[in-house]
Amino acid sequence: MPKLSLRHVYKVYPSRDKGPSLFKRLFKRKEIKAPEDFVAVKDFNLEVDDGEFVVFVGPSGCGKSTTLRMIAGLEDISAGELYLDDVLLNNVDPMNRDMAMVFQNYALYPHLTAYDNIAFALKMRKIEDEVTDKDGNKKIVKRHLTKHEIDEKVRWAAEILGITELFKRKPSEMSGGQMQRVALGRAIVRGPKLFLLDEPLSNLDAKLRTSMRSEIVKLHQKLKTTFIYVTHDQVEAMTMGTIIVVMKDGVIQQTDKPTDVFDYPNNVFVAGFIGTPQMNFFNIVAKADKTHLVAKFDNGEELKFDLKKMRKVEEKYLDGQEHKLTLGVRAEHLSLAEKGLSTKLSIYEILGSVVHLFVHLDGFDKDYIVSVDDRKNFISGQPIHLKFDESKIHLFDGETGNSILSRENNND
Amino acid sequence: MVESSLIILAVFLAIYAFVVFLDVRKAKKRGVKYHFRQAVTAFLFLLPACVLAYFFILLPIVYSLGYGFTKFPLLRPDRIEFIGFRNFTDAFEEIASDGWLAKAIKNTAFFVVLVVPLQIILALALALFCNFKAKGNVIFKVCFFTPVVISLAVTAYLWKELLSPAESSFINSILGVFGIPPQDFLNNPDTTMTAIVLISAWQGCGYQMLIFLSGLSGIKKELYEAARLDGCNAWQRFLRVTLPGLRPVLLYIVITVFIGACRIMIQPMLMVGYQENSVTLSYYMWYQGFRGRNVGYSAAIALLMTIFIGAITLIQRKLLGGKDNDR
Ligand SMILES: Nc1ncnc2c1ncn2[C@@H]1O[C@H](COP(=O)(O)OP(=O)(O)O)[C@@H](O)[C@H]1O
Ligand SMILES: [Mg+2]
Repeated sequence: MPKLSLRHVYKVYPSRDKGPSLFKRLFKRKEIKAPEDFVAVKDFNLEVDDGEFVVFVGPSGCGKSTTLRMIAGLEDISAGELYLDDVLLNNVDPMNRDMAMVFQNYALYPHLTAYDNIAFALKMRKIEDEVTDKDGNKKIVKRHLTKHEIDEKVRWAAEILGITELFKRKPSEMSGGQMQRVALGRAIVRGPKLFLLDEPLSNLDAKLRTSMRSEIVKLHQKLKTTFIYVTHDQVEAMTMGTIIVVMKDGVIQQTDKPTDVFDYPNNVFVAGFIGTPQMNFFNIVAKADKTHLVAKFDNGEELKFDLKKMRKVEEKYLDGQEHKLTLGVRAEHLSLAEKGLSTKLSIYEILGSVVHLFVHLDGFDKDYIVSVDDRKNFISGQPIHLKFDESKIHLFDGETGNSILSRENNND
Repeated sequence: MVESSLIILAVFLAIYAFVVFLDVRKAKKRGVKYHFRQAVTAFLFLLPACVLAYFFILLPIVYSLGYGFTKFPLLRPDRIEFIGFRNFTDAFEEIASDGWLAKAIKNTAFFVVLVVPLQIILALALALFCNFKAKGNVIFKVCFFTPVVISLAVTAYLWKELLSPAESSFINSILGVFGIPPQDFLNNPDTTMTAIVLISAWQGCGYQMLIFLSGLSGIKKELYEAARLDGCNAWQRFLRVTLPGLRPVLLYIVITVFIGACRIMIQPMLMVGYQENSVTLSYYMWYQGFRGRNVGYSAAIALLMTIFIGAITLIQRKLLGGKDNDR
């Protein structure tokens, strides 16, 4: 039984466009078009098992926060269903959903100290106690936590996050990293069923971000609760998630393990979004038979790829006809060779242990990146021949952008 | 007159020089150097403001302070004479003998105690009402703010008409529907001040509503969302997020409404006149000065009022400002 499931969830915002002005409405009747509603999340389906660390990743404005806020109950669900532990949550008030959220700008109560911020939710909530009265009947009594119980929990949370010495400080007296820790403390202290984090690290500087990243992962391993984490940063997604949900324009592009998203991207968007440096995309016209695929590049050069070494190509492209395809290959899966695709070096960057070569096809502007680890002297404009690692190349349909390779290798 | 104003100027300059001197000494101790030319430049920039402050703030304050210790018949400024604390002892005697001043204090206190909370709660309620993001709620804002812009005199006469004892007046005709006989709310000693409280709160609350609205817009919406997830219902969110968020503006509002309320005068003056049930401190002060032609006594009352209001205001700051009035 999945912990959390979203089934065909949509979010529709009424258009913010107020429509044509009064003047236009009165005098230019023909041009009037009713403002269209904006669909921020489209047919979102997701099943999450208990204890997963799910990351929603995508460019800004793709509907990650909206989805998270629908899970939290801060935003109405326009259509579809949301279940937590098989309970339909669509119409449950956020205060009864038993989820905790960490906001990008921390959202700590400015008039309360760190201690009181963490204790706040505990003071609000009532717990149920089973008591036996004089006649031996069992009754369920609701009560607030005692001061002592609250103190114990607050100290437990603060110790995990190492913020005990901040107890007496107000948010205005803390640094961004400290506030973020307190915000995390506030979330974990009441042991919610689900943690929701909306870009919690994006207000921190790069160094702190890296260390907080691993700290949140450790926190997840310690608590073993389900996390849902929103970020626009694919590095965060790759390093933190056990499952990554890549989104674009309100639509899920791929839901997979981080390594699978990296190795088997569903389409050109995912392939380009995940991984640094960005994957290289070549436009090719391909002709394939049973054993080989001949790819004609923009500069007219033809290269022959051995299908046996590649992942399995969808049958319909093996008909011997020409197909427009996009060939994707990561910088580290290109290498320099005596023979191969001939390009020219534009510039190169030495990044310590690896060197990035920016090369272009003769007569074309677009740069491709090749990652090599030998630091010999390069000269701008020098010819470079590229060899493709055939087991690591990706092929996408030129029109739809969808991958045409299966995950298995060709072993026959 | 000219000599005395020159003396005041001299004293003022002496105090100013002393403050500057202390400042320079403090700066020197910390190792900051003062440059003469910079100081002159700074002084020249301050000069226009100082001149205005001298004529419109300092002189009137000092003179009215001084008049408090004189017998000053309004129409014979040449017969001014120094009488020490007589005006003050007269005032205390007037209070002790339950005279008009005692009535004025009672009425003013009644007014202040009722109108301050009423007006503030009303303003807060209106602000919360207008804060909803709904189409056309700017109309409500304008409606609630309109009384603030209208002259006090206009609204006073308006309400006098609405509340007139005639059976056909607006309020009485409504009461008539419920079978209640016509009332003269403004002249009935039991209801005079209550009516004035309600009218003043109505007239004034629009302004505080605007301030509350700007205070509300300063509270981050994530705080409300965090509170919802933390298990707060609407009332708890109001208590734990809205009120603390409004605390800085609340302090400002309490103090300004309180000071304004202490000076209540126009409404009783225009709607009721100088009666035992309507006299207030400011009204009494004005009446003594301009009708009784006893400017010295009037100035003494003003002085007492200033001291009293200042003291209460300081107490309010201490109580409401709390430990963290830094924000
Ligand atoms: N309250 C709203 N009203 C209308 N449109 C909204 C609202 N909130 C968000 N949107 C739109 O929905 C889309 C998704 O927003 P969001 O989920 O915040 O994106 P992100 O992935 O960056 O978190 C954006 O295009 C945004 O402009
Ligand atoms: Mg967002």
